[in-house]
Amino acid sequence: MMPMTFLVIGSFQSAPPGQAGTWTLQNYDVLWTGDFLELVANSLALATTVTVISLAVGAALAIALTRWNVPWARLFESIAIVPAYIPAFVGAIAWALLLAPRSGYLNAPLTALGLPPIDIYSWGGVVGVLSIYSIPVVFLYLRPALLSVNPSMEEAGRLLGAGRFRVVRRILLPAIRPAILSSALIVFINCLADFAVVGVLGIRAHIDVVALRIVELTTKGALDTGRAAVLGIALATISLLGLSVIVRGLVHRDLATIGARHRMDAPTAVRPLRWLGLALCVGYALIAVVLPVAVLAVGSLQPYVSTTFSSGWTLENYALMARYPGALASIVNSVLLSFLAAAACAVLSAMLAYVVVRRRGRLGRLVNNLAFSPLAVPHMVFAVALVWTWVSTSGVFYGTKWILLAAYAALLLPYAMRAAVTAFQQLDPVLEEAGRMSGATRSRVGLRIVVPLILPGIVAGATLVLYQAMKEISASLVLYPPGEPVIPVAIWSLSYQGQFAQLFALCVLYVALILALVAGATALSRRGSRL
Amino acid sequence: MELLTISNIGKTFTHQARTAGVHRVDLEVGQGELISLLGPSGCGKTTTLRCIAGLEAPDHGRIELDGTVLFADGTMGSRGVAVAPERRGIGMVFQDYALWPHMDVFRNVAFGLQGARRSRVEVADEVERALRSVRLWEHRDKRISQLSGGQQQRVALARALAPRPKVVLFDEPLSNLDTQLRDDLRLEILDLHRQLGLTSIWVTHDQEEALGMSHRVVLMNEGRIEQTGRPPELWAAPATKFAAEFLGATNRLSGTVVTADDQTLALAVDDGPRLYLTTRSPVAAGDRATAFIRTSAIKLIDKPSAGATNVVPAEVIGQTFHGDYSVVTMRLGGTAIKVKVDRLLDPSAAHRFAHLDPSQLIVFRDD
Repeated sequence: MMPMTFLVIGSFQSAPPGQAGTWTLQNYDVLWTGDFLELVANSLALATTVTVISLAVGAALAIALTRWNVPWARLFESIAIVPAYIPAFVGAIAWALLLAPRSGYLNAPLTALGLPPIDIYSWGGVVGVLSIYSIPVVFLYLRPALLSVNPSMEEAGRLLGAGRFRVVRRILLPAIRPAILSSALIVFINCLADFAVVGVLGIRAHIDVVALRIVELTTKGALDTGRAAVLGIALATISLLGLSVIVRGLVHRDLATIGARHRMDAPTAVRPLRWLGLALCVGYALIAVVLPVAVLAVGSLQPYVSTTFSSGWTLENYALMARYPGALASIVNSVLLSFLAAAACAVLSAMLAYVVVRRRGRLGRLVNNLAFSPLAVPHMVFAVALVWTWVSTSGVFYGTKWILLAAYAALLLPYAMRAAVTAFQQLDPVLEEAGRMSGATRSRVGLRIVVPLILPGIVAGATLVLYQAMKEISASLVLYPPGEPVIPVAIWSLSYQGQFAQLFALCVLYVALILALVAGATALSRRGSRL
Repeated sequence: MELLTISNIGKTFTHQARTAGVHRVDLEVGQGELISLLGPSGCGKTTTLRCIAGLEAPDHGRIELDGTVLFADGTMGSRGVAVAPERRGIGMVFQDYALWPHMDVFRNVAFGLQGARRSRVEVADEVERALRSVRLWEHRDKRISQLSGGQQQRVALARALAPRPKVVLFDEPLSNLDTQLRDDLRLEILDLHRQLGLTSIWVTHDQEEALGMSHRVVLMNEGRIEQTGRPPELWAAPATKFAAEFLGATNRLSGTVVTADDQTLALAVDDGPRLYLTTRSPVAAGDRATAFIRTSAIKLIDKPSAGATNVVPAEVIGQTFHGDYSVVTMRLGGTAIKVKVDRLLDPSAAHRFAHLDPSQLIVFRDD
């Protein structure tokens, strides 16, 4: 909350933070001069379209994998989550390589077949890429919701004469409405805050959005933090409007009673649906994971981008990349800051979740709302706000990389909180009471009983924070101190400068690093929970 | 010599409507006694138990164990006392076992012993003693999830007994087990109670369990104690309507008292016969009253002998088969009553006579 207050104050200041300024309204001129309305319209249109598309595809994927008995469903379940580990702007770079109008790897065969080339530098391109990487969010929310819906509710519907699709529409979708709305909210806000995909794919088509303008105002030569604050407030307002619409939808319906998890022993197998589901899964895996990663790897191994592969193969790009100033530092910084953010969120979420779950009442609700509120704030708005806060207060960390750590921890805490709250809810308080009755003090019960039992949940939450922090670009770009970039920032500047050789090499390393971290953390928590 | 004294305990819950409060509960438990808190769900028996354990703080009252004050409210100028649950020297066996899934059997039992300053060898000895007493020493290295429900509850029992508590509390410990296992484990616990000289408080909603194993039964309803007594006393002379019905006298007959003197007590059942009772009750002629009688205290007779009391014509309106016995529903005047018989009745003989044992009819004045 505090950063947001300073953001409002900052919007009325005539000078950048840290300098003496006077109270003024002049920053608000961005609202009526120039293209403000167009920016807002673009942002809204983009976020809405992407939300609708990713909801449709994500829901279809989730239903296919939980209900249609798709072959190799378990494999596709893990594949459907992988795009969540790939930052959308890296995906955008990869897709630019695949579908650039003249030089795209996929456009070459298309034109050879006499088809018109697809231009990725367009609205369609931006929407497409953002949708691809928003689908896992929807999938991750809907899958557990679908699994918790008792299949007998649907069977009852079928027995009463409703067709298969009517059952999905009238029974299944309403039952998972809260999950649908929550995932829609997150996708919507993430898209509002995105500037990187728009920056990579939209600039040539002269597509501009509020988020991109904020980045320009805070990072380009002419700093204009006052106007950036005004735009930040505008963006936050739009997010809050979206939030209130969705919260109303959440509150004003009687939620269907959903029992405890039901084991889906045998989802009814219907041949055409099975194969449709399989096609959907394979198609999505190709588009979201296989093609982009492959093209980046290929691109990073070629001296220059060529669809004919005539130029041979080389590792020179990686050497160039290593010599690029800041590239290696960015890798160290990203890993270090992400691990620290994950650790901080793990500790914080465990303590806060205990308050939320065990001390219900007013304090619990307050903590709950506060801890989850960062979800509703676009990252870069928070970052701009943080700049104002830090400078207006003493600002010990300002200009160091630790301000990034603060931003990551605050912004990503909700992810850790979800996991921690669930872990505590599943911990029966009677286990703690049994400890007290066995003669153990409160602290010994906490150490020997509570901590070991919630640890798997906390580690899962920390893993989520870890890769989200690795992927974070919005706040990073606004906040990173000179000479201390993180990987996304380095990629952004390489892309901006057109240093493609180093860019692809860094992208490949980046994706490999994230996947390795996630795989390591998952293996670790598996082993931990088996003990 | 009383070991545990509970006086005037009260607890109300303001925001959790589902948890039952208790009002002015007094209880004394002697050394070596096994006493049951019996009552329907929501009667406050578990709340009382949790107050003794220290898991719940009463609003007022006083709890003393072996001369030590465990809880005292802060009224009358004295400072309140509330000893933490881990320092009360009380063991507890929970309904759903509450074993810790991340520890093996041995560690679950050892947990309560490690806090006090004991050597490893001592702890291991005590764990072995406790686990052997429940015949689970061979399973000491197993994980909790590898045990059956009965074994899990025996581990919970060993865990509660290992630190040698002064009092052991049982919170419906058998209700998650199936019938056969429940009977076996009940006997096993009774044996242990005797052998180890335990003092136990047992919470249950099962009257058979309470009557069958305890020295004294405390019958509770709506947060209050209805009646306390040895099982046969309770069975023979329920003190309230609730006690009568809860302890199985499920046939109720409303009527008006016609005679109430030292020799005779007679009740004219509404729209039905006049019944004579040999039991005593503080009622007067003219009072509205309700009589209760067990299904097993009514006999069916084909033809009444001359001069028999309480033999009344009754019409059979249905029967259900239960294997060892059947339950016949009959119309007696305007009231339907149920009678337990040892074999199925011939459905063609709809009209019978019912004999209501005068010594088994209990009557209470209506308020």
